[in-house]
Formats: sequence, C-alpha cells, structure tokens
Amino acid sequence: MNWLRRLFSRRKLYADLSLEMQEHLEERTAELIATGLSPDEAQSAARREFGNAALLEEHSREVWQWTTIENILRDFRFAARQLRRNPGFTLTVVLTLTLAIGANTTVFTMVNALLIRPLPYPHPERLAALTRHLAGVLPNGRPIDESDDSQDGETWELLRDNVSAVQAAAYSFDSSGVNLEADSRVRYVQDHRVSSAYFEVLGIKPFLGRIFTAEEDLPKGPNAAILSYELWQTLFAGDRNILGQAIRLKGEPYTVVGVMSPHVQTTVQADLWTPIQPWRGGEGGGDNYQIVMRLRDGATWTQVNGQLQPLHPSMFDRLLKGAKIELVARPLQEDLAEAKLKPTLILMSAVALILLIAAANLAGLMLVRVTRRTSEIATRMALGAPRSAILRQAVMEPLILCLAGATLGADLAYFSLHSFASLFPSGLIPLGGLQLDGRVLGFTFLCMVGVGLLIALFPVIATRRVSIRPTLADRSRNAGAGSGRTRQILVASEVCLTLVLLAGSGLLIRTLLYLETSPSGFDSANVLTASASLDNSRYHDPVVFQRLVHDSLSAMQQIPGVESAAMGLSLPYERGLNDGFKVLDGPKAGTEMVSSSAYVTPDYFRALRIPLVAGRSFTDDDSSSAAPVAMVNVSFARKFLGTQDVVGLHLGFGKASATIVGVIGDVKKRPGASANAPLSTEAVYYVPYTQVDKPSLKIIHVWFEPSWLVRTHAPITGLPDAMQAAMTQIDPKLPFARFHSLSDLQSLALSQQRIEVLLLTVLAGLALLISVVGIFGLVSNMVAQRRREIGIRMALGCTLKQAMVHVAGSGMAAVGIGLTAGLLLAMVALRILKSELYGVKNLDPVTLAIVSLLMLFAALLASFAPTLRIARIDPASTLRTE
Amino acid sequence: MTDQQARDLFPGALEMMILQTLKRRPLHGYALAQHIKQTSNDLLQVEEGSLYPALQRMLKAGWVKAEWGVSATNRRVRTYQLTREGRRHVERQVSSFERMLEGISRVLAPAKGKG
Repeated sequence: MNWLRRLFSRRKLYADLSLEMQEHLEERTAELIATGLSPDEAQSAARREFGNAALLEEHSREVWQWTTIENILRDFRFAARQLRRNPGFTLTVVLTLTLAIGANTTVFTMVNALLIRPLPYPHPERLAALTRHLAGVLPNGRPIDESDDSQDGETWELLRDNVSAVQAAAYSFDSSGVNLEADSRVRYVQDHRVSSAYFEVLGIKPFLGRIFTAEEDLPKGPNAAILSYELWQTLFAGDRNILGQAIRLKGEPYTVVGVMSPHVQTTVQADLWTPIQPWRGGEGGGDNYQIVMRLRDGATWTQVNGQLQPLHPSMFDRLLKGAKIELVARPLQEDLAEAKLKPTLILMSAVALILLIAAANLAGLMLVRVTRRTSEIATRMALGAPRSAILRQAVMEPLILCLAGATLGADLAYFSLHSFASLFPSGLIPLGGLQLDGRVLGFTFLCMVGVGLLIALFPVIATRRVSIRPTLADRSRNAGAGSGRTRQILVASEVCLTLVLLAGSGLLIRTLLYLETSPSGFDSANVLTASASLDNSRYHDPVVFQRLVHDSLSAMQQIPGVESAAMGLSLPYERGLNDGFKVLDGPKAGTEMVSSSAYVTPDYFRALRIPLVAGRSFTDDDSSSAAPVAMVNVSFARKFLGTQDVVGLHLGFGKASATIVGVIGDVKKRPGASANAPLSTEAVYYVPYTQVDKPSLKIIHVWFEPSWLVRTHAPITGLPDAMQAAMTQIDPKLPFARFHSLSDLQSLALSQQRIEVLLLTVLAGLALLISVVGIFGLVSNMVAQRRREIGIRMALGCTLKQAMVHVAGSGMAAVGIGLTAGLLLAMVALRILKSELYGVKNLDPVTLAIVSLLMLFAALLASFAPTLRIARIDPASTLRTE
Repeated sequence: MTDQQARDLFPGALEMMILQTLKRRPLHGYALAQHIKQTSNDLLQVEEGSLYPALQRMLKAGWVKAEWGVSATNRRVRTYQLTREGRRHVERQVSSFERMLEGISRVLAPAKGKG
C-alpha cells in the first residue's frame, strides 16, 4: 500500500522539501556573495532567480496530494472554521434557510401530490373524469368558460350506451353517514355509493371476495356491500366467514361480497361501499353523480371525445342559454386537483416569496462578509493565490450554509408534515396524502441550488472586483461603497416582497373577520346540535318519521334546563338542499328556479331566535293532512318573488303547491344553489317536516343528516348524553353521529379560510422578521464602515441627531423604494387572491395603508436602532487612529 | 502545475533534462539547476525553483530517489539519483523524443528529393 504509506510520511516529505529549497537559496546567496555582491543584494537576487518560493513549494506539495479533492476539503475546513468563529452569523443564516427551504418543501409536497405525482392507480394517464364544459357568451354579455363534473342519470345512461371507447363508473361525490347494526351495537359509518365498475376502472382489487356485479348495480338490484379492511378488522375481527353473510345497514340486510385491501386509496374516504345503481330517475334526476372513465385498450382520448360530442342530455337545454355545452373527458388528476389548486398555488407563491426575501437578505450578509475580507483577499492574491482558489473559497461558505439549510429544511418539512398535517382540513389533503418523496427532495435540492447561486453570486462579483494595489495601498478605507449600493437594492427588494406578503395576509384576515363577524341572523349562544343518519328504510315512511321526530323532541324537552327543542334538515352554517320550484303568482309568476331549502319543525325558528318578518311561523296545525304551506326568507322574497309582500303567494313543486304563510329572517349558510362566499345569506324556503312525501324522505336522507337542536337557559354539562338518552328512549337503534355547538359549525364552514389565514400570516410575519434583520444589518454595517466619516462630521459640529438621521437615511431610502415598488407589485400580484376574498376588494386601501404603516414602523425601528451606536463614537479617538 | 508546463519548452521537457542530467551522476537540487542552466546556454529561462515540483513528481513516479548528505562545500544537500526504472524511462523518452525531432526536422527541411 504505497499511497497509504505516503499519506503518513507526507509530513516528512514536506519538511525535506522546505529544507532543501531553503538550502538552495542559501547556497545561491553564498555564491553570489562570493562574486562580490552585498549580502542583501545577493539574497534578493537569489530569490528573484528562484521564483515564488511559497507558490513553488505549494505546487511541489500538490504532487503528493489528490489536488482537487484536497483543495476543496481544505477550503471546506477553512470555511467551516470561519463559520464556527461567527456563531451568530452562521445561526442566523442557517435558521433563515431552514425556515425558508422547509416552508417551500412542505408546500411543495402539496403541489407534488396534486399535479406531479401520478395518481396511485395503474396507468393513471388512461383515467379521466366526465365533465360538462360550458363556453361562449351568455345573453347578458358575460363570457363563460367553466367545467363542471356533476352529472345526472340521463347523462350516465347516454355515456354507458354510446361511448364504447371507455369503461365508465358513476359514484356519489361524497360518502354518506349510515348506521350499521352488528350484534346489539349500532355503529355510525361512512358509506360511499359507487357503480359496479368503480374499482375495476381505478384498478383496485379486493382483498377478499369480489367487487359488485352489474346486476347489483341495476336499480332495485340486490343489496350488496364491500367492507373496508379497517372496518372488517375492527367490527368483524377479520373474520373471513363474513363473506356471503348479511349485515344490517340502513335498516335493511346487505350481503357482504368483498373486503377491500388495507389503506385503499379512493377518491372519497369510506368505511364501506354499496352500489349506487345509477339511472335517470330518483337522485339521477339531478346532477348527483360523478363519473370516472378508463380508456379501453387500443382506444384514444380523441376517439372518446368524438363519441361524447353528439351526446345531448336534456339538462343541457335547462342550463345557461347561449353558451356552448359539451361533454369532455378531462384527465382525472386535473379534475381532482381543481378544487385544491387555488389555495395550494397561493401558498406556493407565498413561500416562494419567502425564499426570495431570505435569499436577498443572505446575499446582503454574505456581501458584508466579503467586503470585510477585501484586504485579506488582496493580500492572498499578492502572495500568488490564483483567483480560482479565492473564488472557490468565496463559494464554499454559501455552499456549506445552503447544504445545512436544505438538510434541516427537509427535516423541518418532514416534521411539520407529520405533526401538523392533522390540522389541515381533510378537503385540502390530496389523494394519496402528503409525502416527502424523491420529487419533493429534488425540489428541495433545486431550492438549495437556486438560493446558493443567488447568495454566492454577490460575493463572487465582489471578489472579482478586488484589485490588489489600491486595496493594499489604502487599508484604512474600506472598499465598500459599491457594495453599499448593492445592499440597498437587496434591502429594497426584501421590503417590496414583504409588503406583498403582508398585504396578502392582511386581505385574508379581513376576509375572515368579515365572514366571522357579519351578522349571522340568529342567536348561537346556549344551543347544542346533534345530527343522526335517517338513511334507513324504517324512516322512509312519513308517519314513522314524523312520530320519531315528534316523540324525540318531546323527550328532549323534558331534559332539565332545556328551553326549547327543534329539528331540521339543515342548520345555519350548513349547506341546504337544492330544490326546484315554480313561482305561481305575484310579480314574477311563472319563474322556475332552484333554491336552497329545508324542512323544519315548528319550534326551529324560535329555538334559533331567527326573527319572523311577516306572516306567521309553522305550528303543530300544519300537519300532513292540513293544506300545504311554506315559509321563505327575506333573500328568497327579494330574489325570486320580487316583492316583500309575499304572504299568500303560492310556490309549485311539481304537481303539488304550497301557500307562503310567513317570511323569516336570513341566516348565514354555506352555498348550495349559488356559489357565493363560504358563508353568506342564501335564498331559502322552508316547509314543515310533516309535509315531506315518501320519495323525498328516501332521497334527501341519503345526502343529508338532519339535526336536532336544543336551546338551554344556561350551559349544561352532560347535555350530549342527555340528548342521546332521550333519543334512545324513542329509538334504541339511532345513535347521534356528532354533537356541535353553532360556533363549531361556523369554524367548520370556515376551516379552509382559517388555515389559509394562519399559514399566510405566519409566512408574512416571517418575511417581516427577515426584512427587519436585513435593514438592521444594512444600517449597522453602514455605522461600522463610516465611523471615521461620522467622527469627522461630528468634529466639524454635526449634532448626534443629524448624524443618526444621516446614517439611518441609507436604510430608509431603501425602505422607501421597496415600499413603493411593493405597492405597485401588490396591485398586480394580489389578483391571485381575488377568488378567495369576501367583503373586501383585492386592492383594499385600508389594508394596504395598514400594512405599509406596519412595514414602515418596523423599518424605522430597524434603521434607527443601530444608529444608537453613533452616540458612542468619540470624534477625537476616531481621528487619532488615522 | 499548468504554470510550470507553460514555461517549459514543451510538456515534460524539464523532466527529461533533469533525468538526462542525473543519468551521468547524482546531483542535488542547486547543482542540478546550475547544470541545466549552463548546458542549455541559458536558452531555457527556467526559474530555478520550478525544478522542485518536477523533482517531486519524479520522486512520486519512482524514477529518482533522494538522500540527504553533505556536499563538497560542506553543505547539507539532498542528492537525487536515478533508479533503474528512471533509467528505463529516460531511454524510452529520449528515443521517442529523437524520433519526433527527426520527424519534425524532415518536415521542416527543404524538399531535397525535388532539388
């Protein structure tokens, strides 16, 4: 092992080399002295003839080294030593990078899962969603270009019978809560209704048994169910004999035909699956299906769209007139991503801004370091160090810092995904979950390289500018004038980007405040709500349903402290049932529209304290045998009836009709018929629970879990148990699925807004912090660099205050430019937020003014704090050091 | 390293001259430098010091070995001596160098055949 021995004998080799070169010089000097030169002359002549001894010695040593690697290692060690010597600087930089790269990595896991990572199905490129595409100009002149993936039963049948190039499956857009009776227990589980081909289309194979047959998917086909692995394990203890047996679901026996694999990844989370049995009647009369398709072998998407084009479901004629409507196959991933895309892109833009701000800040810091080392660099160059070596060293520091930042950033992302993912509303988590995979780490690497290049660029430029003679000749003056300008530009860009982030989070905060504080229309204090699934064959009969509601409310009324008890299909802050109606008389007679609706018990409005505006409320006399009646809210009267004088008008529902007996106040609801804000006052009509017919009861309870609500005089502990006990007296097999206060429901309705506000505010705060550090750094450095100048100024009679303003001015000038540019940029960039804002415009002057003032105040503090050090400058001593 | 080679007549020339010199007798660095200077009629403006990186390269390649001793002028000197491998190498090098020189001079010489 020759090289190994050499590695250890290197010290001796180097010592020999030094000695022999030394001897060489001495021998030459002696010889020259012998020829008559003075010792001094002889020595310098010998040196001249010999060449650059230090450099030659280094080159000689290099013979024994793996030059490149060793040079890099040496630079690495040197840089690491430098960084260790400045723990404050190193910590600041690494922390900034960790936060910035960590945030980018975390958010990128969402982008990756939504758009880049293939869906977790075989050949995902052969999967598509069936969408309705509306394009053109509406009669009112509004251009339209929208896609919608809800379909009705007729469209399903047309697709099934006419498009041979795909295998298609219908499924419900969400799962529904149902009660599963096993042994003596009743469990509330999530049932997802899907077509027989659903699993086949997605390429999911069952763990046990089989998927649904075509026969089971026909209307009135046999009841069959497939269990999730998790439910099978917990409820049936993994018993294989469950196959072929019947379980009682929704009050009827369902044969278990299969068990799905563990952690099955479907478009909707579910505990079990039942056939949806799609057709043009029943729920198929409305847009209640979603359709997924797999391209058959040998077929192409062009073929599919060709076969889709001639299809013309009759609902097209009822949709917006004037626009061109067609059925289009849209890549499944694109379709699934759509709803989550906007918030994700907003977050991604925000974290990208953070990364830029951090990079600008760190570039400034690096620049200061290099400027401070100008004379050191010049000295090294004078001693023969090649520029490449100096550049290598200038790049080494940012490289180490970025490596550390990226590594820690990836750790931070991993940690936050595992700790905070549960805080995310489940609707925001993409199919397959969020993971740090190779693509995400690749992105982290790109972030690192990008930031690294940005922050190494300035030191490199500054190093290249160093020229030996002026720097060495004039050590006292720091060659930092040019870098000061660069730093001002960097600080200005930080301020600019920070302002955009601050403004964005300000607008989202104002939106949330608006949504949370605008009047709800009812009194939410001391009301507890409980929902239960009535998707059960027992309650399809109106008589049984009415008895259940009446008796359970009577029982709840008996709970001590309860003021009133009521029940309704939906609550404020919840979505209502979309139902069609026809205005039969009044100024807008003949109008056919869809509106949000709900059935309620007579005490519903009293329990929620929703004010009666006109006419009367429902009473117990509005029974199933009495004349059909309805109530409308104020928005409904204004929007659909064109008058506030509506008591006595009639609404038509198919062949039936009802008289409007009262007008009730508006309450905040989630949008149903019209896509408005996440919470808004919607037009709603109400009907008595006693006047809902059998087919309606059967359908609406598949989609909606009605709520019981009690108002108490004061908060009562143990109220949920008391409510459940009251219900169990009436029906022992009806468990409540969940209990909520009305403020819980508000939080649930605004969960996406809340998480957006939280994340964006944290990011904006981080940006502000980084910028403040940047400004502080700029001015501190200015103070240090200009000590002499300040000393002279003060010696010549300049006051302390003037000196402070003079120095802080450099920071404030950068801030001023940054603020102006930030306001201009915000005007363009904040358009991305438009669809997320309610109750506030995207160029809200109040918000922009507040955030500008905040930025300005922080900048003032950061600019003047370092100038306090000027007070400690003693003009006499600064001048003396010259 | 590139700096050295740029100053050489061509890459390896310095090494060849060193080896050729050492073939006659072992020498220490200073004597080697003086010898090369004189025999090349100062044609090669070589910095004396550039000898050392070249010598280290040859030590590493095993063409020469070095030993400390005392010179005639009573100085501590490190004397370099050609190894057997070094001798073989220089012979190979010289013959290929001569072949190359011959080739070059044939090309550069006036076309005799036609005269």
